[in-house]
Amino acid sequence: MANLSFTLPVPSTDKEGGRRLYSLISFLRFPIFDPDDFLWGILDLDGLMDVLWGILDIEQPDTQTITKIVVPSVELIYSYAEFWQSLLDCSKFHTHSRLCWEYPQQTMLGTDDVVENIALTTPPAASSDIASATGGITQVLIKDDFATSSVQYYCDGCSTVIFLSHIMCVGLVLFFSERPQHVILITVGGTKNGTLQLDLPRTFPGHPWLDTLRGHASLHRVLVGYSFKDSHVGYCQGLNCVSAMLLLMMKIGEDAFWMLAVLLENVLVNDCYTPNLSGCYVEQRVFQDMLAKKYPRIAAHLEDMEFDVSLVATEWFLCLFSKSLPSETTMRVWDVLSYEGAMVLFHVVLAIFRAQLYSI
Amino acid sequence: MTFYINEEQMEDYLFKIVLIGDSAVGKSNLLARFARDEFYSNSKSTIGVEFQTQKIDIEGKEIKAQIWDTAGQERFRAVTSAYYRGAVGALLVYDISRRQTFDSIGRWLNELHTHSDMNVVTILVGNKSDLKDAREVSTAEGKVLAEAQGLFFMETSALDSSNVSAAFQTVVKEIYNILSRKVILVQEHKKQDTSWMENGKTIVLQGETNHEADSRTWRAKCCSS
Repeated sequence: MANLSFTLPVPSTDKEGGRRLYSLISFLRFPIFDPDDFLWGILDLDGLMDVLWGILDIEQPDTQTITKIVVPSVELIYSYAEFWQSLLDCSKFHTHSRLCWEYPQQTMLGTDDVVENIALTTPPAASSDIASATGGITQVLIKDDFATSSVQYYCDGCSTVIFLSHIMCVGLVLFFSERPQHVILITVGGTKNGTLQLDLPRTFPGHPWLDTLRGHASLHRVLVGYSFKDSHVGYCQGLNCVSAMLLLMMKIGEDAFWMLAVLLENVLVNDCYTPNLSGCYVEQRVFQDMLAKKYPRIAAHLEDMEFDVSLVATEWFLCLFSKSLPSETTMRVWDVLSYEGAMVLFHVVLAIFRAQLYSI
Repeated sequence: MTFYINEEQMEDYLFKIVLIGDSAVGKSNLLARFARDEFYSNSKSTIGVEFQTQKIDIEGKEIKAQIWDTAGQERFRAVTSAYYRGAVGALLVYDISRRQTFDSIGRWLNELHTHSDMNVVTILVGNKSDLKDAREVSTAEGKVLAEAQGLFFMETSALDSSNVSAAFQTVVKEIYNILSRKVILVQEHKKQDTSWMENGKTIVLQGETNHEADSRTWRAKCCSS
């Protein structure tokens, strides 16, 4: 067990931003020794820099913005890459690394979302830890997340949110919201053996695009992005199927990400994917009652066999039928779902049971 | 007499066995290998619970093992533990190439003991034994833990199918032996002769579901998937 502590340098506001950007790019394209371990990294680093260049093109930031935001951000990416490269020699070590965040607060722009999130979820126990880790930033959330085996740092009033793996960092992901100048999320993506990572090749295996490295990377970005957006939900199995379908439809990762957010936050029953799956239980019980009312014969029959509908319905409700219905049918269900709301799911499950009404 | 022999052939044992362990340790593939002799290097992750029935021949008796394959992710434990009820056997699976899956065996044992009968026959299974180069948990460690907890132990590989059916058979055989001992005890207790075994009574070891219901639930599952 190697322990690696890593401190980010406080960026000096020098005028060499341009040079630093250049050296970063050359640095990020260092050769990859072990493609299995680091392909994630290179894919994501490419994406990351593309996005950064894209933003610089669109925003045309003034010199002040460059020194205050772009340079520190790039510096951060640079530092991560360095950290990441330091793992090259010890590809199997387990580290409880803590990246110490020492950025002056004023270099960061805030978003309402992030601040709200922090206020709701900061565990009191973590506060002493926070003070030492952040060096003066007021509100930070450090959360041990089982789903991704990671430590997440949320910094209040800063545009950068770090998502740390404590097993192994395998990638860098940068996310931007629809207001790119406001949210920059830098992710050291997940753990090599986290549930999320393991589920990538297990999501529609054999699919010509999803089951490729590029497909996995896209899906990874969407899921990690969402686990940041709603850290209470994090990653829940089932979201991988939903996100994969959304990716196939939307084609672009960011669109799929926002569709996923809308689905979970506005369309579906609340708390479906939270750590206790409470919303999912509610759905099961509600459905049982509906079945008893609508088709008492089926309900009585199932009761005779002591068959709990949740045995089959859990997957239907969590994957929104994407694993069980033919994809065309799933798409049709999703159309109606987004138009009419979560009630549609119950209608579909009822219809599936009804289809067997005369065979009992 | 002929009547009795026929009745004995109809005798039906149904053992409910659960497969538990962390996500992606290969539970579904163990079941696929055992029940259908299939293996998928990337199988879909299990959401909730799935089950399958497999016939096993023990000492000339046909035994049905109803094997419940559960989702491994932490947050599904509440969902899956509901299905432990009535289980008489359990395969506690970890991945020899990932230490964390071995470390959580203790939590799975607690889970199993909280939600099921303490006497459930349990085997500790170290899966993916074909990944020799990536091994993180040694065979000895597995053995030590199994002995400490009073479990059977076996290292399997669903990929090259080594020990897979042996693991399932160990559990089923032990359950069968316990059952036979109980039968003998009952016989001694009641001072009855061996006709007990011949009176054609169906022994169902699963509490809730009888054989007929089982075949129907299975059909319902087929239609739904």
